[in-house]
Amino acid sequence: MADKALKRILIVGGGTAGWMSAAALSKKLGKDNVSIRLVESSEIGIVGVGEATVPHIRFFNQTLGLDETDFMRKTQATIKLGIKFANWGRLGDAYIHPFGEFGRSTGDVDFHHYWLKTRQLGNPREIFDYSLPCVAAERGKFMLPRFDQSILATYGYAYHFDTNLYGPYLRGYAEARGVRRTEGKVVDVALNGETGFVESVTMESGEVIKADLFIDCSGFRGLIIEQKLHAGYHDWSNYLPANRAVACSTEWVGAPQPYTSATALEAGWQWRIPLQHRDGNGYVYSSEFLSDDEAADRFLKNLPGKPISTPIFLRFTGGIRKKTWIKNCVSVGLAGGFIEPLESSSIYLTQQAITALIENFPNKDFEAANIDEVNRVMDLEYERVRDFVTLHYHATERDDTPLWNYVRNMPIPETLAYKLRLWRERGHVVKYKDGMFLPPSWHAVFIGQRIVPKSYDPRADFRPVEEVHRMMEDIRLSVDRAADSMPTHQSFLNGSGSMIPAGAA
Amino acid sequence: MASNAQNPSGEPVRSILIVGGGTAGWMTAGVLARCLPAQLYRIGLVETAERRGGLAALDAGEATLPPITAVNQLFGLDDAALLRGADATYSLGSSVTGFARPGTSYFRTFGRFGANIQGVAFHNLLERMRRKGMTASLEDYSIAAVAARLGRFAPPAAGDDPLLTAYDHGWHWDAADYRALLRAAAQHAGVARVAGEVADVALRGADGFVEAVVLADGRRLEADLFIDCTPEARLIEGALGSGWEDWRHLLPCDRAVAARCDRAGDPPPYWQAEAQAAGWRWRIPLGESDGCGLVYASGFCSDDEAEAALRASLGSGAGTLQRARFASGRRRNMWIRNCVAIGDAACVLDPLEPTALQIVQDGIGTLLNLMPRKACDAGETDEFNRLMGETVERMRDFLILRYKANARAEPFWAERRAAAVPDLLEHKMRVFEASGRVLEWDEETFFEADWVAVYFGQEMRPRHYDAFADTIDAKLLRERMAEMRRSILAAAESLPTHRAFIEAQLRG
Repeated sequence: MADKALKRILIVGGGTAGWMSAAALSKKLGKDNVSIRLVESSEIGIVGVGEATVPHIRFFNQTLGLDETDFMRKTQATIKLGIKFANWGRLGDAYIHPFGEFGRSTGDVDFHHYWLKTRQLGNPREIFDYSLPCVAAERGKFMLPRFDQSILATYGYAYHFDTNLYGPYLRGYAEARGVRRTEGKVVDVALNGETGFVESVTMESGEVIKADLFIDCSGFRGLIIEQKLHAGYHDWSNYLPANRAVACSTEWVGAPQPYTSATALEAGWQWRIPLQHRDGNGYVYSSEFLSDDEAADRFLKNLPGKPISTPIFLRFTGGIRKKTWIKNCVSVGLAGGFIEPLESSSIYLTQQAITALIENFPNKDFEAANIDEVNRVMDLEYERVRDFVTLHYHATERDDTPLWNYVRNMPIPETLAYKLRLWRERGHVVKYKDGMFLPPSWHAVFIGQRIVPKSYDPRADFRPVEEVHRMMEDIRLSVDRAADSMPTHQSFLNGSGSMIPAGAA
Repeated sequence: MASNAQNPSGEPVRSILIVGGGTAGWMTAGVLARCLPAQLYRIGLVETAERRGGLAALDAGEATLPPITAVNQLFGLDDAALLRGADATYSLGSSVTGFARPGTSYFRTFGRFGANIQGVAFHNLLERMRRKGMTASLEDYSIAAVAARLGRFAPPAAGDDPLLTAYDHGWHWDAADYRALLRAAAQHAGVARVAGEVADVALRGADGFVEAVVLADGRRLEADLFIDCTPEARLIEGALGSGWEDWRHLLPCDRAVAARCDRAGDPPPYWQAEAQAAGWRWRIPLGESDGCGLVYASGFCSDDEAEAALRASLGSGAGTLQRARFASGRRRNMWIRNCVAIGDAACVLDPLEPTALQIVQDGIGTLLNLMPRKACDAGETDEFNRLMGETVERMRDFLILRYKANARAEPFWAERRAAAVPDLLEHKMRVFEASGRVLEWDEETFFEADWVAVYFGQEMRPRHYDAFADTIDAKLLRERMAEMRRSILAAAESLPTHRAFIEAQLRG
């Protein structure tokens, strides 16, 4: 079988997706077994205005064997405990979607059922008061979670980092493991006339690079997967109306918050991603409801600090390539699809595509079953992220602008409608094995956006009500004390050595 | 307690009536009585005397999967109680003979194979080495399979070496005895038993909810929630017309003939399944005797032929022959309004894997997680039907694989080989055949090791193995695998014999 093993892999495009692919494959395959090359053009920019991630990125970094402190220092990273959503359910509302649990395991019924029960009995506390990552985030606190039975084991974390730095960081890693980088633009892609497989790409320099497997990391345009192999695109604009963004960086205005901010505006929402010495900002909006000029105007007035870069404009269409993988070309990252950044899913979906490729790694036979499987899994991943992001728009009482009137009334995917119904009726979250968001994420957005279930699990009535009140209060107090005892996010960054000393950046 | 008509969440269920006095009924009633507080719920059971057909009526040994342990613990049935009270023995799984083709045999035990190296699944490492001429079998890397082969048994010892501890056990027991244990424990837990025959099921005019079960003697038993555990689906089908999805085109065996028979020698720690011309035979070792039977497809084998074949295989020590008819399939809706079907009323499967009690257990667990209020209008019926539907379909797919991947000559087996399989199974098989990868869907009962045992046992060789297996140094791999084999064999040989272990438990 070894003779059927792939000998040459070519990664086309060197943004985050390209270098993540290069790093993972070079680690996994070793340099003796295969030649991995990556072509990129420094003339083609990447979308880098600060990037927020989800906790899965830690597993990716750990698999590579990266040192966390070193990684954080070199990418200007800060800690992310969740996302703060403001003005989504109603103007004036705010909640945090945390990386972690609400309450803690009660040994029987899920915690939120107890919260729903006591709420019916007059408990005025928000469920977010019982979540350590929410409370710590609000107070600007952080320490590494523990792996024990305590309240300090009820959360995870991710990072905000500078994507302009993460790619190069991984580049160093990949090049040290034998990946060869070639600078330049691809001007042609050649297919085999008989099989339709990709044979080579031709560089502007005239060099022809052949490979057995091509990984298309060329971004939205899908240089091979779309332009040459015509994968087609499932356009999800009907569920995800935002299709533009304007973004820029701003000056440091104070200690970084340990969370991403996502503030709903008239025709979309604005992000704020705190890095160590500056903030990344952007306004994601729908061109149906707002012109670029109006958006830029609104955005610039809304910035938390002084701009230190020229605003850039991005256009995109929410959706997924009809096939992630065709013949000997796999698309990874934006080339494979895009869901707007509301839930920081972009790097996660890139990571999942790489994982799916590795789990179904081909040989020269390019078995159809494995290709089908990768396409199936990626469809599922994207659809599940789509549903979750769609929920944020749809679950609103806002009626102040045409965008909110549209999303409040738009038809939603059946899979989401089913989930909504089970939640609305009895506080039940429909679970699945594969996919990004665990039940607490759904609890956060449902409750944070005012979809409070009509009833709760009847088993929450099994304990005497006084005992339930006491248990709830114990949890709330332990959350409160634990958050208090944590260092501030800033002092965590300083103390752990993750911080570049001011002025050295 | 906050439980009254003003409850803004809706009126809670306060009374549950289980109909049917078989294992499904008593298990359901007992678990509910243990898990729902007695001051809030009244649990009753109508024990019907008649037992119509079906595999559950046979007295020829019953095997289980490992998760039954949770039920036994809930009922306070420890090992000694089962060994003494239900003529039980331990089960590491089954031996599967002749299914791939005549002359083949493998163990389908409840345990993992080998240890993964650098993230590559063990069976892919083995596949690589087999192509390099290594002759070891997959089973040499499973402590459960090696112990089964040696007739040895003990539950996994405490320890952190998964190679030696990643296995589990189920049981073989006398079905009627086990039912009696559950029945006594359930009544002890507060289940109110009513003996009688169901004459009628009264539906509420306004919304078609079940209002009461009317017994032959005129008694009328009302409840908020009804659980249909009757083999003939008296409520869910008889009264509510759920509909039945017939799976005989996928699993055509529809008859069984069975008997108790004497056993010479010690009970093996596994049960046996052996392929026959138009079906297969079982032998389940109990404490005092064996339960034996033949499962066959009536389209390929007459009842007389089946009886003759079973008699011939059992020899002189066999008891009276018992006959059963069944059909694999599922109820279209397992929960309708305020009526939930659990057990045979919900789904019947070919007994090639001991799924019957598992289906009961899954039904109860799913119901508890979706415990409704009186109106049953909060989506729980759809969610129960979705979850249980997927659960039994994934079980079905695992059974189909053993019929599909065969190289036997008889017409029954040739037809199975040619028959189409459900889409999800087909995709799963294609991916394994291409690359040795085992997919798991949501709501699986059988996981990677279970599938690997059957894929390998049925002689389905993947065309390729995990490409990353080739990145591991061959010498290192050879050494690690030899070491695994040695330590598994040594550990298995150090276990007591199955009989010795049983005797030690009985001595307490």
